[in-house]
Amino acid sequence: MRGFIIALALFAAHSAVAEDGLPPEIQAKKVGAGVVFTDQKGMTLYTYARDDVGVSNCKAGCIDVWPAVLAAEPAAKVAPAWTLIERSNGKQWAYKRQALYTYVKDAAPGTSFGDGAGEAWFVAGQDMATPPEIAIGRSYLGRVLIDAHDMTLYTADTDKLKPRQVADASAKTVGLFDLTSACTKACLATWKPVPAPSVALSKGDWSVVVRGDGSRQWAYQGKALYSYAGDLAATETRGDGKDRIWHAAVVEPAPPVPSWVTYEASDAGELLANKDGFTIYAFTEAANKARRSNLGAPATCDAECIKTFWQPVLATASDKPIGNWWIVKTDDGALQWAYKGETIYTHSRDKKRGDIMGTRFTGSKAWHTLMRSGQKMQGMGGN
Amino acid sequence: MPLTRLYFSRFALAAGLGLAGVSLDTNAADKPRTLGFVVTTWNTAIYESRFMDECPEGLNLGNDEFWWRGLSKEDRSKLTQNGMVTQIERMGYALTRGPKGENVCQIPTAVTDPPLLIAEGPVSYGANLDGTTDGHATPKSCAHAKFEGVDGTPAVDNQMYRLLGCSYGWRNYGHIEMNANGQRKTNGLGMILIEVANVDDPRNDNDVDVTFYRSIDQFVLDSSASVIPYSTYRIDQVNGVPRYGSKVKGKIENGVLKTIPSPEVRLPFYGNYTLLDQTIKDMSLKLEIDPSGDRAKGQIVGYYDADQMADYLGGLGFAATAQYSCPAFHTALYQLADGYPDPKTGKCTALSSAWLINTVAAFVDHTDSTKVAQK
Repeated sequence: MRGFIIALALFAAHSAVAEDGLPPEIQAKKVGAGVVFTDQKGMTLYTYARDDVGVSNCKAGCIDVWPAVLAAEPAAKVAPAWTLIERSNGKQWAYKRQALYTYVKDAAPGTSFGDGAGEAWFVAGQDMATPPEIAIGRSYLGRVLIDAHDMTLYTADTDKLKPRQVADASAKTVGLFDLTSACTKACLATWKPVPAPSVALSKGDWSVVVRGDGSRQWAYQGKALYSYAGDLAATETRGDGKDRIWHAAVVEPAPPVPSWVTYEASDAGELLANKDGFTIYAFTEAANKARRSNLGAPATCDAECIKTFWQPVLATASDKPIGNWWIVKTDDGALQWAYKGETIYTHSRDKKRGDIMGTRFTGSKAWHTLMRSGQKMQGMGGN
Repeated sequence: MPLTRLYFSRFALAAGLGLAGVSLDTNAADKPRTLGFVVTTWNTAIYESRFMDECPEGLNLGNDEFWWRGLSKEDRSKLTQNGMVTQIERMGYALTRGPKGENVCQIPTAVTDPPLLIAEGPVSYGANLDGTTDGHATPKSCAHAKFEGVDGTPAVDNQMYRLLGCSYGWRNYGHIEMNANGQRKTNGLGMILIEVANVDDPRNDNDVDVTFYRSIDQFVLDSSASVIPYSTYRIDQVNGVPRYGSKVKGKIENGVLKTIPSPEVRLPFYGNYTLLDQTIKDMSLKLEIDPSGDRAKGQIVGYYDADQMADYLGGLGFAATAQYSCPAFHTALYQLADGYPDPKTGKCTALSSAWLINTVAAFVDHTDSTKVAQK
């Protein structure tokens, strides 16, 4: 019980921390699921999962690619969540004792090419406050509200909330809402209300609603929340669009993609494809060079090899960068699409929609598919 | 509980929630039933005699040996730190042994290696796929030698065995197949479901429908990592349409399911970091169902596409440790191809093949799979 009370207190209190008392070198940019931190130029900041608390482990080599966010001397007075880490060239800002960095390959303010890099670098920020029973997860649709079992939460268009009209002092304090819902009886076996504890408080976007049977349920932005029995795995969104009234509780839509990008089902999940459904691959030039043979052989795949097996996905002069999708100029002056700084290709041996022959380009980790989930393609560990 | 009731209860599959099968009502025994199986192991059928008579010249050398033999003493010393760098660590060097540094698995024609040692014994798993007794050329096959079946069946075709039978990685306890089965067990990719519908009697029925699906669920394992029978597996679907779902006709005789050869069956495959969308021509399945109904084992035969096999062998990246040469394999597999001649060149494009499978009973769940948002 004590832990629960502490959790409630945290829910009530922590939402303002990220945006208040910021260092002058850092800005907080509001996004759907909370805030992300940028430097004064708007360049995205990152944390490094291999750092220790209050210690930066990004040293020589690493720090050239991930420059530390340094404080001016003397450092400004800031909120307690912001601290400083000593480096040889100055003091580095840390948020909640996690050192902050920029990424030299980010193309412009607002891009986050480094997010997920090496499965160790992640955009720095803070998610919005949620009740203890609810969190934020990643799904195909974007960042969604999830329950304690990581199952996606949904809202129904047909639900109606109105403030409880009683002259009861406690009701006013708690801010209860009455729920009129078309989902009753059998429907509730499919759509399960997210229960709110009797001591839960309404705050900000979060409301406690009372169902017809007297039970209490969480609501977000005026919509009561449910989980869906048809979802069988974490962050699935099978219920989205059901009966044209049920919608996944998306708090931040998935990042935008160019209009030519399509999705194809594969044995390892949905992958990104070009407009004709052919799998697209991102090229990691460093991985290609890293496999250079000591025998004096060319890179794993030299220019001629690339020309034989890989076709660049070209952009037109009228195409515009979008989100983490950028346009780069090739050596011969053509415009080529790139994702998070890695140029995009199709593979010559892929003959039909959904083929993934490029994943079997022997001994090379230089080309990889892009999965809609944002994860690495499952099962490719040793390729 | 009466035996018949016990027997039925172990085979019955709940109809609710789209699970394949029948409901447990009182008249259920009179209604057709549906059986389900999940494939737990998939092995290329390699017949091994006691004294390895099928490989009179021994087993094949690997890519590493060919690379090693081509080096001067100085280079051997330099590239392996006086022999301290193991085969797996030097695999990258060994693969790029083409005259211009080509990766010989990506471009197997870059070098010419000594010919592959192929299986030469008289006995093999498999079936007579071309319908001839001597393997002479027909409109749908190229001339080849026949085997005697392991069970005495005459005129068996299995050119895949000739190709792989003398390579360590595919023989018993060779790690190509062991690794693939192990990976499927842990990551749930490439999992095959077999659904047998319209079954009036699970031991004898002369007309049943067999469908092959891909499961999107991993194996349900017990504490000793054995697959638990009668677990539920969802089929892979996009907007309600199965991504796999080849249907064939069959019959059950004394508990042995035999399917009629089907022109083309698609089966998923995963193993050795490779995903394949396999197409097997003239495919048939023979599955011996254990009297308990808990498990079944059998053999799949058919023609396997040579290009797909070349792609699999070239993409494995295991050439160093599985003891094979990509160039030698590449040459041999097109020489051994015995099915489906190309109408223009007359060269065969597929290899007669056989695989041994083990399965356990499973509930096949047809519930709508993950929705795919198409633009």
